[in-house]
Amino acid sequence: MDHSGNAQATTSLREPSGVIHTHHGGISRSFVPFLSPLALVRRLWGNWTLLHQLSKSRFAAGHREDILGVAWLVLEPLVMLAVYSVVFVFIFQVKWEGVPGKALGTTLYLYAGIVTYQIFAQSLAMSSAIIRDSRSYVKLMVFPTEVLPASVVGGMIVPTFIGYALIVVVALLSGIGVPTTALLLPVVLIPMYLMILGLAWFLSALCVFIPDTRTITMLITHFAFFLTPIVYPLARVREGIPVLYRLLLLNPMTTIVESVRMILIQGKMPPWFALGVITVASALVCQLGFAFFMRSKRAFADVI
Amino acid sequence: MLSEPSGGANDVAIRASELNKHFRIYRWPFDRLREALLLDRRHYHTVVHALRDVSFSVRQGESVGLLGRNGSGKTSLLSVLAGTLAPTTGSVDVYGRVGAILALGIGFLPQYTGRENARNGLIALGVPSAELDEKMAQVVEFSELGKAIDHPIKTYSSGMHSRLGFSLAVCIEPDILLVDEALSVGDAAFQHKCQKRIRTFLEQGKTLLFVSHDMGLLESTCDRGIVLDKGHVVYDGMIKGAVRQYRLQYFGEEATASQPRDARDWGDPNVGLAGVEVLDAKPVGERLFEVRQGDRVHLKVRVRVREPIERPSFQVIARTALGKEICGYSTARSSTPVPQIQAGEFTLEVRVPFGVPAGSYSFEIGLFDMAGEKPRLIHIWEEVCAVRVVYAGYAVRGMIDPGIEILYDSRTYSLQAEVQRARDVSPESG
Repeated sequence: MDHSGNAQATTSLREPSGVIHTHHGGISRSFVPFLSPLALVRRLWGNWTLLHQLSKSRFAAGHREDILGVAWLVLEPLVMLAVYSVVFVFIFQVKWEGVPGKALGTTLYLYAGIVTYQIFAQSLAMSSAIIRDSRSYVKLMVFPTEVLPASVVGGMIVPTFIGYALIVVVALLSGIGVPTTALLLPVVLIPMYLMILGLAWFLSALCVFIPDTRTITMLITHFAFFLTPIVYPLARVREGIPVLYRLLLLNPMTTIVESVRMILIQGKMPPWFALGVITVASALVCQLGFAFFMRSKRAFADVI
Repeated sequence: MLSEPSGGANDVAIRASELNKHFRIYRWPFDRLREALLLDRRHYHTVVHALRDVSFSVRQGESVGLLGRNGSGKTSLLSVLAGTLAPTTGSVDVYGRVGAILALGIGFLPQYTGRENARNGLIALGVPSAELDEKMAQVVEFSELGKAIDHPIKTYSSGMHSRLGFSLAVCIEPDILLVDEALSVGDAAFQHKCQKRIRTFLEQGKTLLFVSHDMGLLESTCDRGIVLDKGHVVYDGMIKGAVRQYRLQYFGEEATASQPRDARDWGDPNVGLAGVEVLDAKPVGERLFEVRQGDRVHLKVRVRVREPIERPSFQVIARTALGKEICGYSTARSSTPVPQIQAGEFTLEVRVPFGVPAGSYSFEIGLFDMAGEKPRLIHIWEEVCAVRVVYAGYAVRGMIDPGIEILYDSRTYSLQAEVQRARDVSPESG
């Protein structure tokens, strides 16, 4: 009841005549209305301008006070690219089969995995505390708070683009070349973004009630980095530790990272079936995260 | 929930019915989650009642002051009206666009600039994207923040913070403005600007709900007052009565017991008011009436006297909400003396052609005895009633229009002619 009331307050302001909003007591204790994908889409679509604006300010605020400013968006991944190539390619001499272009190719291959995982980890780190950090929106105004976690994901779009663009530019300049399968990148990234969105809604709501969520999320994403075959080849695990291999396959990020590398560097088709399963599961995570958020949202003001 | 359209509820701006708000106090935030998810049926909270059975309705154009001690539920009530808090039981209908200034601001995020925050706020408050740039320019101009508008909010002083909040709330051109103490910050010039803005806002016939501990400001801004005590409405009527009630509460019964209950009603205790009525006007509170601009005010006062009065004289004075006399008349020098008043009840009628700017006014009635050398005061009702004049589109300069006529091109232009014309168009109104 309360949620739809809020929606009217924000949307029907455009027509100043008539009842603008009604707030009733008595709480609908049901998740059910928020289990509909239609409700989710309507929420985001209805607040599109706000989502766009928030994503933009989030993106801009990130480096506002830095001397180098927006240049960090390119510099940061460049430095990372250099560090990881020195450590893993030249010192540890990690090698992948079927990767073109010797050391530089291997570096790009490694980097493609790291960039993908970074998007995932950073989004979760930033979104887990976003409601806690935006208490004035929760307490002082009628604000569609569900837009806040979504804006974190929205704010990641430009850094994502820059990260992958760097690979393409380096590959083209060095003569390694970019396969046409690279055009499939958005398709491969959709499940990841859906999963991030769902987790962002779930974690940001949970963090309101359990402040430790922020720290736990960081720990888990750090740990999960090593449970994803990014700095070591998946093939070697399959031969060496079969138990771990099965565990790695359960990690959806394994499939996503591998797929990104296949299409972007190796010119291979991604594992469509696994990707399809993950897309369905991610959509489910997204929907459940949304429902959890919307259901617990009315309690935010009580405890924040 | 989008019930009847604007016409159905005529001129109501806010209708609160049996509002209750219970806050649950949790020791740990996690306990709130446990309850929400119904992991078990146990309760983990202690309950604080912020609002208890609060019912009232506010008409368009009214300006209502909310009074009460700290913790009496004022802010909770405003938050429920603004929609940031959901009532536990009961319901609120709000007709019109609401601008709320609650505790220093529309939500701002400290790491973003004033401009970004203002933009986010405008969008969240429902300003369509086509009007966004225009409204942003208004906000920037009104707030007078200058270059600081592009600095992060975390660098703002509390004064700058409230400037931005107030600018946002008024620039969305709300129909209803909820103000929570926000006017008492900022420098004198900005405070003055805000108060002026609120006066313009009221002259446009819009609705104001105002929480303040500044009694002078409340009396000059509002014409109705609601006093809350421990979540209950303990008084709803004229602002002066509300202020009195609040003071009574604040200083306790004993401190005020020695004073007459109504200090503005003084003189012979054998003379009493039996009833006050304004004909053709809407009663909107205790001795509070509402007329449209240009309407004649027709007072009907019934007075009870125990002893006859030989040579009575009556006096009427109209005042603005600030207490400034705008007009008055007394029968003291009248060539035809007023006949003797018998013991018992008599009725006095007063007719005032009341061409005044929109706002609230009070009427004083005085009763004198002219038998002696000097007139002797029998009784004065400083505020026999208050009248709120609702803006109806007429421009009145100064304090009152004595009947100015402008003649040009063999036509006569005057307030009375305007009012008459409006009455001819819609004979049922007025």
